[in-house]
Amino acid sequence: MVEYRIDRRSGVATYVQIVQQTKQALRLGLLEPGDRLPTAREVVEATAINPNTVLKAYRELEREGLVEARRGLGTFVRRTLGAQPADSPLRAELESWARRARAAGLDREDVDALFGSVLDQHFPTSDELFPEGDQ
Amino acid sequence: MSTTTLTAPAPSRRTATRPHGLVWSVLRLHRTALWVWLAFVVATAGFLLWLTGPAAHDAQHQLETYGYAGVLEAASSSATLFSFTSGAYNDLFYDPDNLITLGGFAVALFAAGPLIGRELENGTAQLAWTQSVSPARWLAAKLAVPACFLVLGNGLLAALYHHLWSAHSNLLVAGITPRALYFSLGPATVAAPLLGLALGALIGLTVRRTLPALALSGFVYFLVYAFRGNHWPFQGRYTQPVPTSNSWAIDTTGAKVPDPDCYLDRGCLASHHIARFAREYLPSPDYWPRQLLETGVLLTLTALTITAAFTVVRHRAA
Amino acid sequence: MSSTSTTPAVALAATGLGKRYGRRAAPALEDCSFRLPAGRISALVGPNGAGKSTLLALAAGLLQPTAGTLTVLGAAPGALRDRVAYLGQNKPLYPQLTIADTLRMGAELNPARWDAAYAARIVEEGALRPGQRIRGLSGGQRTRVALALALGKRPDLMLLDEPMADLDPLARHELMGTLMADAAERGTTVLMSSHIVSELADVCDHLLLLGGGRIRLGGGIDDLLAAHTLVTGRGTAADLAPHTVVESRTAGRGLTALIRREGPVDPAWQTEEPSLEELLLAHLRSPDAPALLTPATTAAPLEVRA
Repeated sequence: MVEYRIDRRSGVATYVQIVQQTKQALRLGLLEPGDRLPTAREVVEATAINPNTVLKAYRELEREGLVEARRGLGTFVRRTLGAQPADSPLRAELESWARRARAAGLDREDVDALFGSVLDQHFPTSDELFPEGDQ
Repeated sequence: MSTTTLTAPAPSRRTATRPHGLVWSVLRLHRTALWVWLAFVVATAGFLLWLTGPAAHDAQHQLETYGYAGVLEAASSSATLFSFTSGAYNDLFYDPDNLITLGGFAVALFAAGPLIGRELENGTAQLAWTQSVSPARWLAAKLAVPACFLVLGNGLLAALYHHLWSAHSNLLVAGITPRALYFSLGPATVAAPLLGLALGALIGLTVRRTLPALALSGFVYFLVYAFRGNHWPFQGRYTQPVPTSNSWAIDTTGAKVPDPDCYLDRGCLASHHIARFAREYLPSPDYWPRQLLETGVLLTLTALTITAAFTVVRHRAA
Repeated sequence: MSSTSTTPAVALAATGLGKRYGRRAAPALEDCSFRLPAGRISALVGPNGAGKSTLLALAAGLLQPTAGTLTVLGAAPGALRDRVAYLGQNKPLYPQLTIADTLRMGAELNPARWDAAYAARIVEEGALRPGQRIRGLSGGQRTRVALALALGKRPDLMLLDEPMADLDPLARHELMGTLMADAAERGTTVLMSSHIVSELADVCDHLLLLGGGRIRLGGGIDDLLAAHTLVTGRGTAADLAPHTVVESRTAGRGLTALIRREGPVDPAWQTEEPSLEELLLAHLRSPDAPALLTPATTAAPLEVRA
């Protein structure tokens, strides 16, 4: 069972925080396929947020295929989020790119901005998750 | 989240013996007032029984020995004459009447203050109205429960007082006061505090603040009290006819003879061969017409006042 | 979240609703028309004297409107007292009663719906003993008992007037959690007034903004936020046509404005979605801005009865 923490000062929408924390739990292996997510009632009793917010987050997770709602039983984890292993070829490519960027004189913030804009371009679905658009 | 158990109030079980719902809540909320009322009724009833029994002994002895002169002597023997605290039987006889009258005032004040006015001022009436209880039902219970206690208590006191009158009214000094008492004992004694209750409730509902409601209610009930005492068809103090008194002496042969006017002279009484005296108040033929008329008027006014109170409450809340 | 079959789709519906205390007084509410869909948790927001308490008292059947009509759960206000709970601003309770007696009164006066175990649990979570007298409780403790009384009757509609004002942060979090759990479980409609906007943002999904006795904004919070945009850029308020400018302020050589969009915004302006607080403050500072009610919250033009 996962317990959500809602940070009211973070500026991140509450349902996004639930989505992110669920994904984090999936990545860390704290939640595995077949596990049940807490019911909306359980979440709101502990966090004092609107029930619809929880349902919205769960719908989002369901839309991404991570969880499924079983009528009358609850919401269950369908698949896990595997992190890319440390020695994957993708990581090696990214590392060599970062070395070149540094050699070209880019500082950390420049790389951040560059990476962010490429990320936005290739993963547009994340826009829906961050309506504030401040990344 | 940890849940420990608290002995939850037992689910309400409907039985005929246990009060429930609004009746329970009125009884619980005004528990203190109720105990005060019961204490008042018990104390006054005890007082009346004492007056009927042992307290009458000396005055009775004076009457039988000296006739009306003995009654006058017994009435003036006390150190504090003709006052509320006088120990003379003639004065003690009227004290329950004063107590019952004060009780009526207390009822009017209670209704205007704790029963209705304070609830509106504090918002607790609104608390009741937002349970599953309409304002009209709330008001009905607020009036019906005290009214039951008033009818039972005052009914008992009026009955005991009437019994006392029948047994010992012959020990009273003649004048206006026995007459006023005579006409104030009966169904009207029970009806008047009911009017006080209704008036207090109406004033409480209209004024909605405790202290002004108390003051106004006391004043209005005083008007009722004064009007009853002085105006026909109520007790109408200065109109005829009056209950007439009749006294006589009985000589040693057992024959009824007139009072020889010996006053407290035992030698004189002996020379007239007077064995003892007797005296009685004759019932007035207009007692029942007056009592029933007064009771009817009071109950009609009560009904009108209660109707007005319900109109106020309906007009205010949905 | 599922609403019970007996709950109509609209919890509150007002048409031209008005309330005036005394003939000469300014109206506390004037010409209010709106619908509150069932199952929403709605914030009733507005400055002091905006008419929040009056609206709640009208819905609770404690006052009679002087104009217009109001239906509560499809019936006249006060007709369904067993299904509506109300928590007054002063949290009135009988001071002479103990907590146990207060809850007993809840059971006696709500015989059809009272959930004794639930009410007792709410009280107990506040570390209160049943034998304590109401007279001796602090403001926050009284609020807890009053909420237990309101929740214990398991209402379909809860009307809460400044419910959390005198609670400490822990109790506030706990009781809001209890309230939300009830809403999640039973689909309770909640209408609660407050002027602490931050308190409402996480709890409520619907908003009614009152100003000067009138409804200024009404609708789902997401919909209302989405209908507005915070724009910054060079230009004047007139350049923002055809959008409705709710409030504008100069920012250097240009301006920052909260607008209600009519079509796409000129890309020359930098846009941002406003926060709930920004939306509310902008409307409160601009009393002349036109009212906005989303379709589900707009009063039905004609009373259609099925």
